[in-house]
Amino acid sequence: MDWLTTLRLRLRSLLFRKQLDRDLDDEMRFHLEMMRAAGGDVRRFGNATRWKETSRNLFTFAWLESLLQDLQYAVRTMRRSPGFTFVAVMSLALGIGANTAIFSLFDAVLLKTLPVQSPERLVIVKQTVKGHKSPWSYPLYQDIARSQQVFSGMLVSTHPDVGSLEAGKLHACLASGNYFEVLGVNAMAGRAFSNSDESSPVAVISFGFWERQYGRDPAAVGKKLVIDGSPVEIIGVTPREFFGEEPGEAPDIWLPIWMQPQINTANMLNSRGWGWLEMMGRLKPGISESQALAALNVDLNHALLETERPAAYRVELEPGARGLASLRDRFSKPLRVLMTVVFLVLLIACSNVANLLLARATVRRKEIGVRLALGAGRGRVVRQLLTESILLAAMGAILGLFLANLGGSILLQLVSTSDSPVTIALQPDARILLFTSVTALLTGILFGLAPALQATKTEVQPALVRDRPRQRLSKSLIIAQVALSLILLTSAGLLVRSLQNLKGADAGFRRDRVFSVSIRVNQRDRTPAAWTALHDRVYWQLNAIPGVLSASLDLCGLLTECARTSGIRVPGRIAEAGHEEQVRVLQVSPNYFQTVGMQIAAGRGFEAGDRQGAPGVVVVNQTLARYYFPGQEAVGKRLFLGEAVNPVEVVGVVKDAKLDGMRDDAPRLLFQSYVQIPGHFYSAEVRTAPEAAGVVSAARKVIEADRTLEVRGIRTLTEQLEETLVPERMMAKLASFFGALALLLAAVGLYGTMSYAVARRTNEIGIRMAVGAGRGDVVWMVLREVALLATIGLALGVPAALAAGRMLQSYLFGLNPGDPLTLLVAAAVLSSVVAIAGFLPARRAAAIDPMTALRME
Amino acid sequence: MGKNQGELVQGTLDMLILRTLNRGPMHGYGIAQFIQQISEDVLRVEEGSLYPALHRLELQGVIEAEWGQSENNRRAKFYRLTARGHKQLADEKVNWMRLAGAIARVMEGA
Repeated sequence: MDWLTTLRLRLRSLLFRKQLDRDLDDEMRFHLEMMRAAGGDVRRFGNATRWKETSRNLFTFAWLESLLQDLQYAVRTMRRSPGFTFVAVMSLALGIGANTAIFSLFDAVLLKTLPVQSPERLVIVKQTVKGHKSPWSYPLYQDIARSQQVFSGMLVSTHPDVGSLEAGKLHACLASGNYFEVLGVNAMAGRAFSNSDESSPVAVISFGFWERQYGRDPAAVGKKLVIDGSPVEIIGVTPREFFGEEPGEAPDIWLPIWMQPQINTANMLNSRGWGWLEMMGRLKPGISESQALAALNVDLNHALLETERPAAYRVELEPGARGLASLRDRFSKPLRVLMTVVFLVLLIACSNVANLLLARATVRRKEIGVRLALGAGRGRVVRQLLTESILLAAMGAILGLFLANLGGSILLQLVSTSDSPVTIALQPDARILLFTSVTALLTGILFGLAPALQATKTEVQPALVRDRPRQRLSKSLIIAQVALSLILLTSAGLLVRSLQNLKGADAGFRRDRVFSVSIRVNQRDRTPAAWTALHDRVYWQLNAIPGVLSASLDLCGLLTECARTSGIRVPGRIAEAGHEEQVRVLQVSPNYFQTVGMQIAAGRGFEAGDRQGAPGVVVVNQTLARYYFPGQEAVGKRLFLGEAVNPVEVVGVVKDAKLDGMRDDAPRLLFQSYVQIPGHFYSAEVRTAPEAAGVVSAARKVIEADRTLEVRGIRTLTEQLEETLVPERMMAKLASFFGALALLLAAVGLYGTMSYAVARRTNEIGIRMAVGAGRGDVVWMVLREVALLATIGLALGVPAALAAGRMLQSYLFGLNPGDPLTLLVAAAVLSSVVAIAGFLPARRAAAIDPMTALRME
Repeated sequence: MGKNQGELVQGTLDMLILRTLNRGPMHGYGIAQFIQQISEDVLRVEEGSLYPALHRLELQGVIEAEWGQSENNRRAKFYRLTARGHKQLADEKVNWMRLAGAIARVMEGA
């Protein structure tokens, strides 16, 4: 068929409807006149109206017309029962909105590719040391960028916060000069910086910052900003959709890397010791990731040979189309769990609406019967009913989008920490709209199809018989809702209790009133004597601050990812051949244990006598003691660290502490004192007296009095712990919210269905009461049915909830996936809500006046 | 007289229309007259049923239509074959002959 001709003719008919009608009229009138003129029998023409109708339908988009009809009809039906429409649309809006909101986040974090040129050619280049990720130093990046042959360009970047005289604190991206060139992003106003700007103080600002600070004034390009005391010139604005190379970061300003010495106190551009950059590369055409990997490892080894560094360093590659991965690594599993949760909520909402539709089909039986009797095909009526349900879903989707938009900022707060806010544009874009539309369409069909088929079943059966399958479907839906709600409530309970357990568990150190100060030492090549001097000065001054009970410096801090390991040899213990055993080593100030509240289990802590020149001493934790000296007294034992020829003596054992986070078992850990082994430090722990004020600023002043030290952040250990728990917190909060939502939806659904059931049985109830049934009997009759449905639902829900618990296992802490108490509480909550939702219609049933009920018929 | 006598086999109306228009452009009334004359009134259709068929063919692009003056100076819609129409007619003719021949042989054998 020549579809172009068809389309042309149909479009013409669509545009010139009247013309089409007139033409058809004229054509047939001409024929009839000719017949009459010839003396023919005009009856032989047949029914002119019918022929016209048939032809008209040929020329128009028949389905479009009938769709419009269906829609008009659907709107009329909805307006006739506003209560039903309200409940149905709200249910769907909550279900679809929840899905849209979580999907927006899921999409932004896990699916979306960077808004740059051919993102699929980007790879993330990571440096690892013995499997641990290690950021790149700038000289090493330069070496590799010069020697490599596999990338058309390589960039490095990092995301510091900077202060601006004009706009306060800004989130910045400090990036190599070729950053925009490698990503293939152009400025939307002005120009992007490039290597040809080398050493000039320039900056590119984000669309958002441009809008916020300059009201999108084109004259912003060329203006000066003072960033951390140095003036920079704005040379361009990035496109609106560009958020940089790492989802969630969304910098306000991009600064070229040669600005680094201006925004930090120390120049890190020439230091090989400082790893602080993330690297990405754009593969040359024809080069595969594995080819690039092999070549880069060679380049890295070459670069490291020059500096005589151990060859434990490797390159690892990851696809970079979706940008740098910190957010993705953290939230990919929680977001998957949440997608499942909101999907279940949507299912509950669907069965809710399906049930309401079923109940309404009872009321509409006469109307549907009339349509069928008048000759409408069953398919036609089903289509009409489906149009109604899809219209409901569409209204739900629109409202849902609105709700999702409201929820978006709350979601972002849940994944953010005070230290690293997550900034993602969650405005609905084409992808989100597509997701929501498809969801709505499928939802509409899902909840609409069964009731529509039920409602149009053959009409020959007597009414009473016909009602039975409808009731069965309706009851199954209630059972399903109860079961699904139980899954969600149990999961929420498990997650909430795990979070409480995590927060309340004994970490082996005290968290209240202890500040952890993260310190950057910007000069690391010091003599031992200089380290000792630096340590002693900071140590004594911190301890002298009024309100400080005790303060201590240490190598890593607590709940950080920092760790140093050392080889260990224990006399009398034979290590596996070629396998050196490793322990974690933490250098601390003498009063460390007292400051963080680690308890000495045996022996002693460090003392004033443990100084340089005195016999080497270490304190070990219980795990190490048990591992190397099982069943023995560890205190007094000797061991060798690294390549040392002199042994050190274990003078004390401290109780195990969870340095790495609540879920990790304590590592084999050994402490050394700075007083005996001088060296650098990254952290200070400060314990304060209750009500102590001004300690934080005083500590900062003490540390920054030395020009080479920089305070990177001060937080309480409680805050630090909470930040390690952000995914758990997000899951617990959202799961509870959606659990409550599920409960509400299920309650509304049950209430609605039972109300209809009671309304339908008014007559029967009237008869029962007329022949002597008391009000109590009637209430019990209705409640018995509710109880039966709830019991079946719970029975089916328990194994499903147990299975769900097992899937959540890795998020649980301090309780089993099948924790009976959680399950019991969830079941109890669910049962009481169901009972209330069932009692209201039951009471209404009992209030039926037998006489009125009987007269109704 | 049987009710079905002279009724058209589904689809043959299209073929008859194409065959008629093969002689030149014609309006609906003319097509109906021609079919009746040629078939000596054996093939009878409700004449109105011609129009949905004409319009379907027009949509398929095998015939095209134009308003013009009839022989008695009335406004009438004239149909004529397109290139595709000529080709379709040729194809259908071959098919029909083969089918008709086959049926004839079967019936004569009975």
